[in-house]
Amino acid sequence: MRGPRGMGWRWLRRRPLRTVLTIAGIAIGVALVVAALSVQAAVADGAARYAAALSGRADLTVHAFGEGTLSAGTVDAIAGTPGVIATSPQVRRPTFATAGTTTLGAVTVVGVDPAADRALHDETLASGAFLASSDAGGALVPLGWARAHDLGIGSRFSLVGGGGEATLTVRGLLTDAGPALADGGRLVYTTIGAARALFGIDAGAADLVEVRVDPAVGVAQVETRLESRLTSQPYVLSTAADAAAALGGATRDVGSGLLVVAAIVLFVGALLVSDALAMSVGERTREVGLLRVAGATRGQVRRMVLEEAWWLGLAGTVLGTIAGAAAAVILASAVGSLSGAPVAFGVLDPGALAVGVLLGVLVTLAAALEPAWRTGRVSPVEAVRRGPQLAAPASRVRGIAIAGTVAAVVGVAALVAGGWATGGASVLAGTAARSTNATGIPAPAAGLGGALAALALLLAAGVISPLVLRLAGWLVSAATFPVRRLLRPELRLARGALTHDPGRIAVSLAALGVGLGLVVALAGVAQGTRQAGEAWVRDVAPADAAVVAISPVPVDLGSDLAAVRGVASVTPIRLFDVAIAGRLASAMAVDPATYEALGALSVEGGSRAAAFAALQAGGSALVPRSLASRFGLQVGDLLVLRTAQGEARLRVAGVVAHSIPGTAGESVVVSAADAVRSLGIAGASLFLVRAAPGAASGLGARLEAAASPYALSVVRPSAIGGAVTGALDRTFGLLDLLAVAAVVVAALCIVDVLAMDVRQRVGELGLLRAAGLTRRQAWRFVVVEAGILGLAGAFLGIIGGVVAAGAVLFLGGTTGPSGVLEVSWGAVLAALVLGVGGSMLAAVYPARLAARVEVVRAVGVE
Amino acid sequence: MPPILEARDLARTYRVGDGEVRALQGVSLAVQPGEFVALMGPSGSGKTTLLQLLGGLDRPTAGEVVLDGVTISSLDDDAATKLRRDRTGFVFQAFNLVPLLSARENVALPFLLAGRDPLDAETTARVDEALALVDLAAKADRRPDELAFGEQQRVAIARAIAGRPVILFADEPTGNLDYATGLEIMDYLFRSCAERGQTVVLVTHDAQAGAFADRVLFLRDGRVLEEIRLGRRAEHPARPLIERLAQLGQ
Ligand SMILES: Nc1ncnc2c1ncn2[C@@H]1O[C@H](COP(=O)(O)OP(=O)(O)OP(=O)(O)O)[C@@H](O)[C@H]1O
Ligand SMILES: [Mg+2]
Repeated sequence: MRGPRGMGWRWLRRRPLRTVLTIAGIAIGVALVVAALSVQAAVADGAARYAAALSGRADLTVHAFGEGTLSAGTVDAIAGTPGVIATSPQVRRPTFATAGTTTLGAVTVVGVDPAADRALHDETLASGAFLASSDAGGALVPLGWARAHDLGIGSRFSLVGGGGEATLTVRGLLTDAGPALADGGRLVYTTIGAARALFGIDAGAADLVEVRVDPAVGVAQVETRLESRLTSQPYVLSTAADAAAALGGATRDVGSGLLVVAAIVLFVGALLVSDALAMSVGERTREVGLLRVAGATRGQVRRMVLEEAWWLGLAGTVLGTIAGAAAAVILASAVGSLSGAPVAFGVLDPGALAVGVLLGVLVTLAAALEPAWRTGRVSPVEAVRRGPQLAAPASRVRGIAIAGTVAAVVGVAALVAGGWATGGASVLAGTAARSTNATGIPAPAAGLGGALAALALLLAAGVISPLVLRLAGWLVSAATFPVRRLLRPELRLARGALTHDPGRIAVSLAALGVGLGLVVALAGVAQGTRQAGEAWVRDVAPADAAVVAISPVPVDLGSDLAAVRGVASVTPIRLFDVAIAGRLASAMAVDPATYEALGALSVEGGSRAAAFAALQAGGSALVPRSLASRFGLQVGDLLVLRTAQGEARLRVAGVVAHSIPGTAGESVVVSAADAVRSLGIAGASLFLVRAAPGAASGLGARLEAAASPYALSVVRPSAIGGAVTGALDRTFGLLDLLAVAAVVVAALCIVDVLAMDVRQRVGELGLLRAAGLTRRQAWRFVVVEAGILGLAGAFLGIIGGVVAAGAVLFLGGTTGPSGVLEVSWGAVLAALVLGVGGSMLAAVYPARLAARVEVVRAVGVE
Repeated sequence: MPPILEARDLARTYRVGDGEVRALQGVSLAVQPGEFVALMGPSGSGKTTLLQLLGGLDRPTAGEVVLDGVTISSLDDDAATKLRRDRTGFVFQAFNLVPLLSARENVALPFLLAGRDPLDAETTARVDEALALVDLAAKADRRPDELAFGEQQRVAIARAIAGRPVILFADEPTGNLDYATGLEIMDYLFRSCAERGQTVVLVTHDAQAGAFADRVLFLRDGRVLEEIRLGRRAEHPARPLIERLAQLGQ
């Protein structure tokens, strides 16, 4: 026998459809949260473990700059630096392997001193033996690669290098773990002596040196010491944490985007719960009154509703967690492919599961607070009162506000927690956390903007839903004017039903609005970001075309291009790598006068003319904002750039918003004269071409003709931006898919509301049927009602979505060039179609219920 | 002996739109322990309103109700609810039972709500006793929709008396029943009064039902118009009461 403790459970079982729908709504939200967090954790974890496996006990790696090597003197200087307790010099270069007449494909040769290497790494052998340092003809290869090419202990194969050819014998097979995972496992370990001979490298020199640091001294201290000791050669430092951050960085923005959308979907799920429970409370007023007569206190009936919510939350959370784990496995491989690290998906992240479970249950309970509170207010007198018992519409708005606030707070907390969980590792490791991601939008700002916009939308929906519904009803009437005679009774009934008690469906409407708003907002943000990207290209490469060289060409080629008919000006630009304080960075050399004349670069907080004048005068550089914050640079600071050929000590003459990106981020801008004089860098990597007025058409073809003899290619300036927009499109494609999930949850909400409506109106429908309403008309009545609802939801969604997109772009500091957000008409259309179509589809089942109402039974209902 | 239930100058005014309905205007009454009192009167005379005030379901606009020595009309909702749960029982015209619970569970409801273990020996005994009293032990595990209407009302009576309330309130418990079933229900109510000393306050339209009472209070326009003393009898002929009511213009 079950007591009042079981009442919540029984209530759920009485309305199986509603229970199932509500659980599905929560489950979808929880699933997305779990999936998003798991993917983020898995990718971050995969990257960290991969990086850790690669670096072993080495804390730091000193790489040769560019194509060069670290000289024997530099290698010795590194080993002799105080605080360095172990070093392992390596020759590491790509080449091709052959065995007899068969090619084994590209491999990376790793030449090490076996003893020094094993002091830093724990390679394990599947079979065979490690190399002896004197064994110039031996090699170790990973098991997987060996299997793929039918190699075993004793097999022989050949490598071709710059210094000659070497034939090696396999002495041992490495298990596919740790450093053997690098470069896809296509590795050949040899002694460093053999590798030097193969590539023609001087004795004692190396491509890189792995360094183990005395923990008592610390990595930072050793970095500083290296900087003062290694003055003869440029070098680039990297740490294990850098590698992990670089691998994880590519996927971080996708992960936080996923999380924002997931939180909003869960939020819509919370609305569904609140709505379902509120409807149940309305239905059961008499029953609750009866319990109150029998002596149930307010607290007791409230707890019954909370118990009901508890079961809903639990079921939804369990299902959602399972579905989320499954989705995570699928998503992880998709997202993982964006990063370079293998995503091992063995165990689910316990943190992600915990957050998902906690959120699912908490959000459900939070959403139940208002209905529970209202249940407690049911008076015992209700037990004996006759007539319809409807929930007071006025309290619905308050209900929405309460549920919305609680859900939003929980959501934001989860976002912060999620951000901390994934961002924490790299922050702790001391890497300067990049505050912006590839989309240029700080993730927390996007999260906050999204949550705020959703909340605002919700409040607005509660307040203006009567108006919007009336408007939508009127619009539908107007739109169906041609078939008016046909649809008249249904239309009138539907409009009447909706406008009679708008508070009743305010929550469903809000849910639909949030879902559709998400679709519109994501499209808006994507478009805004893309526009910002285009604005950025206009800022750094304000040209009609760009002529790009694969490797640097003489600057003089520019005059050939300038001779092409219709060309007004040609600006040569050289992109190259530099080392700044032992870190790899990009630089661009320009002729200040012509680049300034193009109108390029916006100087932050200073005069553009003065900045370019300083550049022209020599000894100065302009640094992009991102680089300035990475290296903590300010105007007037000394900036030391190093290349293999030399060193330039430059004064920072200005900070620019953006510059052209090179291999390691946005470039430091230096004058071509300084580049030649101090850094030994000459030539051009690309030419920016400006067309003469009216001569832009056909210019591409003419440039092509002039450029092709020199193996130059003509591209649009936006191509310089690289793959940014491509990655952007893929990211937003994924998010759009998730936004549709929010619409699905909202549709569940609508099924529920309409089904309840039909049940509540059995008497009314029966009377109508008695008076001559056909079954078909009853069916259409409900579907038309849903259509109006959908249209109203689309209105709210479009308005809310545009506002939300604006908020996100504004908070992210990414406003378009005009400062005006352009509405994506495709998304607006999608919202309309999804809203109206989706909710009419959702109405099919309730409409069937309505069509099946039997006249006799309906009239008999009190 | 002090009265078990006492009402003093009770008034209840309902707001309806801009105006108000004065459902009760100054009702005083006292009920002795073990007494069977019927409230009668024309429709709209305030019977249900009075019963709700006496049982603590509603609060009076003026006046007070003292139930078993406690001024229930001045208690807060929680305290009134607990008093109701522990010392009163209610039977209404219809919708008495929670549809999701079996007959036995419905009878045990007040115990459950009071936090008692529904399976403990005393509770089980009381529930079984109450079900036996209304001759429904055999159908205890049926749900309300599997019971006839008269049987549902008997379950309601069983629930109302199972907790041994100091007073049982019934609002037209026979209103939806046919003549014979109505008499049967009245017989169960009367027996609980005669055999167990249960105090009963009954609202009814029906003189046949009213005739079971020791005393009938006749209401009109929110006031007690007349008190008719019938006394405790073994037989309950309706004729004397009908004649008396006829004199009052009913
Ligand atoms: N909740 C309410 N709101 C407004 N007026 C009410 C309410 N309940 C009762 N009334 C009015 O108070 C008066 C007394 O009603 P009450 O239900 O007490 O009468 P009654 O004697 O029980 O009638 P019946 O025999 O028809 O049940 C009536 O005029 C009724 O319309
Ligand atoms: Mg009445």
